[in-house]
Amino acid sequence: MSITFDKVEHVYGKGTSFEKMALKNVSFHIRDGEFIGIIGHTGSGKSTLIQHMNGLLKCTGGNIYYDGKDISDREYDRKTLRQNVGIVFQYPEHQLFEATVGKDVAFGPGNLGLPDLQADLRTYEALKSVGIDDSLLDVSPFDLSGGQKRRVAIAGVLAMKPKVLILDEPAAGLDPVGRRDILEMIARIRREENITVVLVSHSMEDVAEYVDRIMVMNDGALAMDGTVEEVFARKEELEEMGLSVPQITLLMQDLKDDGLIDETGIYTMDEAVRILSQRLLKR
Amino acid sequence: MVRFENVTFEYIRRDEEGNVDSITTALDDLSLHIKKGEFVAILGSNGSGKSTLARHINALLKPTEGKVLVAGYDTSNDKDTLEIRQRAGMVFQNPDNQIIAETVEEDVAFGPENMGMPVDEMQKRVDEAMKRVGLYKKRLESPNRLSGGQKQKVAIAGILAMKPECIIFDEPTAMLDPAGRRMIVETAHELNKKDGITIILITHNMEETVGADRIIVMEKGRIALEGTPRQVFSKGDRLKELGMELPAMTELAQRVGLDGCILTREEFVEAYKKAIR
Repeated sequence: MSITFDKVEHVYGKGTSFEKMALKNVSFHIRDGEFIGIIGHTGSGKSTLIQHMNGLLKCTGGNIYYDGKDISDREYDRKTLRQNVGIVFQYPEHQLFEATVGKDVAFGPGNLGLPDLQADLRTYEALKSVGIDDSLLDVSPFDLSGGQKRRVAIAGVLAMKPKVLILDEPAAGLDPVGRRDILEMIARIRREENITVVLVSHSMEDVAEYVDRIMVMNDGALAMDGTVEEVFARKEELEEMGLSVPQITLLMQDLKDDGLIDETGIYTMDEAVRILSQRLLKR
Repeated sequence: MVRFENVTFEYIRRDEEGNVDSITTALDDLSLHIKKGEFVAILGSNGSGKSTLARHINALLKPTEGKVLVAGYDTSNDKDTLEIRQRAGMVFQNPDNQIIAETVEEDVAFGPENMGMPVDEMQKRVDEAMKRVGLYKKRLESPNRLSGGQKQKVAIAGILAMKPECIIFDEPTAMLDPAGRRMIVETAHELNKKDGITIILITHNMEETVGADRIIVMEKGRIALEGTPRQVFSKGDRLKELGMELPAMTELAQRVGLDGCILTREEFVEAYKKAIR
């Protein structure tokens, strides 16, 4: 599914003394199957932006198109839109509510009016996809560990078979292993299901490692939109916005400034290892 | 400053009739001594007991067995709870859950006001605390309009106004952007160095622990590994077993075969220069 934002604007509390422009003239196009990272300081408009992506918020100006169709048209089927675009909010495990893991994941498909058998099949597949064992189907989600709860919550969204999956800080609060597992899982699901993924993150390292393209939000505007290379080459501007570049990039820049290497634009550990080991072996 | 003596803590779950359903041991015969003025970072996978440990320090939780002493007060004596909470303040993960007032100033004054402090003294402390974290200019603004990092600073100022001896940070940066994260870790170090406040920092971010005096790694309610950052991060294999990773610089240095346990960018550049010479 392709997504097009055309001059999208969102004003909270229009006409009141609390009026706040949360999105200003935001335009972009996301192609089917892209892996997008969104970064931005707290309050930059990231959350407002993603809530527009599945019609939870209506823009107060501009237009949003899915596959070329304007979602604000009266005939547009917004129910289908919400099936097609799944959002995993921050700390999604806080939204678990059912008595068993199985029922919680089946809640969404059940609401679609699918026959039980089909809803069960989707539940089973979604749990498998997030690495939750069948033996936990009848367990209360509240008896699971933090990382498992989050997986179950993500499975609930996957069971809707979304074509676009949006995740708001899916790794927040997880320990290093849990963090890596969740991100690897998202990357794998994207490959297997061939879906569009939008990842909102405060970790420059995670964004550098996983996504194809970065969109940078700043004070409600889309400040940058480009490949990982293009965006992380603009270190000063990012720092002014309260963001940064990966640690590795800073180090490689230091080494270059001291005339020790020639390469620029190194963003991941693996690239840095490759370049520096070559250099160290040669000596 | 803080002493744990053979502390065990059990979360007891009961069913609807009040019978014991299950018992989880979150702290298991744990002993620990944190000296006055020390900066201690606590690592550990989710569920290893880090937060349970932190909540014992300001008497939010009390040991099932053993004893916790904070500035000489035993946390299991209810009458000393206020004394303890004045001395040991806690900053939590979600800044939005900690804000209660309409302005920064009122929010910071909440603690001292509840202590029944004279107004003059209270105003002085609140002003000082806001200046200390650089929020004095924003004192009449609504905390809700601040950035995540600034909101956490409001929480810190609220504790500073109580003139604490110890501040416990429970994953204070988990929800912050890079600038906010840096702001909070720098503030913690500054309060430690300039004001001599004992800092206990719980985090999942290895980079934030590099400047600590001591790192404690928890596993299943016990201390699994302990030492200076260099001692702890030179045990990469053990850390991986414990679900942790290495700071980026340490990992890179190991993978390209640089000697010694490297923690910072500056150290990396030096070691690299030596190696290619």
